[in-house]
Amino acid sequence: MNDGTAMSRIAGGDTAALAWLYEAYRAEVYRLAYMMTRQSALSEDITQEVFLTAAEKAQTYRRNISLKAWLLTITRNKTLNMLKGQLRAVPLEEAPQEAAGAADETDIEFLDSLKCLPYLSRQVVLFHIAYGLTHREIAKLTGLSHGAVRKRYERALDTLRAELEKGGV
Amino acid sequence: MNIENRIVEEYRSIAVPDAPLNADTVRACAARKGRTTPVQRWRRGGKVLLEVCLVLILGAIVALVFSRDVREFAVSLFRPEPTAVPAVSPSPSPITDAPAETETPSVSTSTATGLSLLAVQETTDAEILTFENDGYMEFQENLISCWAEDGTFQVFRREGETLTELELQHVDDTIQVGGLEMGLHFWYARENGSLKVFNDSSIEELEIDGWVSTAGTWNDHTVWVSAVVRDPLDINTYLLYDMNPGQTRDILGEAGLYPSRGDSVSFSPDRSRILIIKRENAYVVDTETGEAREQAGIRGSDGVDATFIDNDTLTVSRSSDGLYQISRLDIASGEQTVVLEDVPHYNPFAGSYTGYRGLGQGMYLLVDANGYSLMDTQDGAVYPIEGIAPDPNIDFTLSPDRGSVLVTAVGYDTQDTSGEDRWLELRGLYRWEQGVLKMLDGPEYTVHGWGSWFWNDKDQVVVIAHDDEYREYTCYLYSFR
Repeated sequence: MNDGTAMSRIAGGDTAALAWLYEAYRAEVYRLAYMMTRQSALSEDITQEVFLTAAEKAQTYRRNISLKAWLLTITRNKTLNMLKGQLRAVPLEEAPQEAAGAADETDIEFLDSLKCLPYLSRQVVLFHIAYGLTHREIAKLTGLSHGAVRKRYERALDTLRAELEKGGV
Repeated sequence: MNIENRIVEEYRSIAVPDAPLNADTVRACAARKGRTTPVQRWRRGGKVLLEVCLVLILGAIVALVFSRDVREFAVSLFRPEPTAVPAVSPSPSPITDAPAETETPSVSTSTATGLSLLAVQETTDAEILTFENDGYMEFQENLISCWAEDGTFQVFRREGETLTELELQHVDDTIQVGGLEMGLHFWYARENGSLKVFNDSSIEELEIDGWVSTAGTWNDHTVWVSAVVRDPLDINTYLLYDMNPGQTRDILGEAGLYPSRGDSVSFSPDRSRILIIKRENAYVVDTETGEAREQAGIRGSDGVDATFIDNDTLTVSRSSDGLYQISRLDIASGEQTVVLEDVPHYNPFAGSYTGYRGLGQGMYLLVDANGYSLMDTQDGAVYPIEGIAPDPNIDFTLSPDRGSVLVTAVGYDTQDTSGEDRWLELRGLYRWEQGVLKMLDGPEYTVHGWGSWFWNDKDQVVVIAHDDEYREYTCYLYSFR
């Protein structure tokens, strides 16, 4: 089953297609939520919420954006909304996970060290390297222009390399 | 290990719980069973339509074979008919039902064409709605105009996060400009009796080096038309086009005041007056009566510039010998009041003009070695803008209510070979009456020159950016807090 077929079937109420979608993307959705919140229970809730939204909004999915990018958009917005609910308001420019509460479980020291980057730049790096999204997909996901994504990515890697050399990362 | 590998390795190390799909989610999906999707409805409708068409075609063939009248009628359909002017016809693009409403900011909602609400972001400074179109787009007073590669043109009304398509009509007409016949083509829509017009630049005039385009509306049936002719005449004027009889009123031509290239033409805020500054003189023309009043002492050749503060008053700036002065002029009496006298120019950056400039509505931006300040020519009060040093890339845009100034940084995009693209950053928002400058940390956009960022309302700014291939345009609507 491919992404487009799955979404058409889900729009028609096919629960088997929904199960396929969940298995195909739940790890990526959960990991994004976890990297933003550092809370496994909250990330599980967000993951379930994302697939509920995907099921309810399947008919609005358009193929001009990849399914992965669409799901990650929902994940990102749901996570920010959840964090806002916890903290009243978490500005996009700030690192939400820092304000979200105590971190738990998996040690992601290197990913944490990306905090030296501005929040949007960190997302650009993660989406490109960890999720394999193209710069164009990231531009759609973050609302940045294609050129701005490219520049942010290059600048972010330069910053990380400089930090590595200094021993800061 | 390099950065990319470390990120991937650690990303994969995040353990994913083996949780099953929530039963509520499965039920929500199952509940959709039996409902028709838009595609299914389209297919079902198409099947019925196909069957009806087949029956009609068979009937027509039988009638053609057996009836002489039907044969003559069929032939007459292909005879050319004289066309009425103006030809007003429904939009050839399919007019669909209103697009699906965007219920949550997390879902990308598409319209019939490539326009979609892509994201809703909340920052400390603003809510940012992001709209994207698979083609060129414009934004004006919450109307989003979209062009597609196949030539389809659609306009959507934005209300919050909801997009509703407007029903468009098309006008094709010919108008006279300085004795020349020029084609006038535009789209229009009516909303609660209000007329909205949109240029149709897809039809090119080949005989004349020039063009006409709509320039807003005057009332519910009259449209302002901008006409530019380079050859065989040199005209750069405005006319009124009444859609009901399809006639033009050439106000400036009747007054013998056709502006040409290099002349300055501007409208009063309510468009009841037009200011023309020529090399040797200047006039204010009344739109209703066509009466032209010469404005003594204003000559384009003297380095004089003038703009409307309101419908009855102008600001006039003069520049000579490295000094400039700004005054206020009452149009009716001709009385001038000097607001700023003999100030030295400050323009330290070679290659670009960074000195004083008018921002419209009587506001001037002043600059000296200490930085920028705003001057309100209505009372001469000056408001320093603390925290922004003179910079050749800094630009200022006044809000429609005169209450705020958007501070942007703009520069040529060095990666653009056409030389037209610029990078743009929203740097700050200056509420001059409160003396508050709020610095913004917006992303960098690639825009297509001046006019790609503007105020939509007193607290809303629009930026229209595009991708490197000019295929996708993105509209960012900032609603500042």
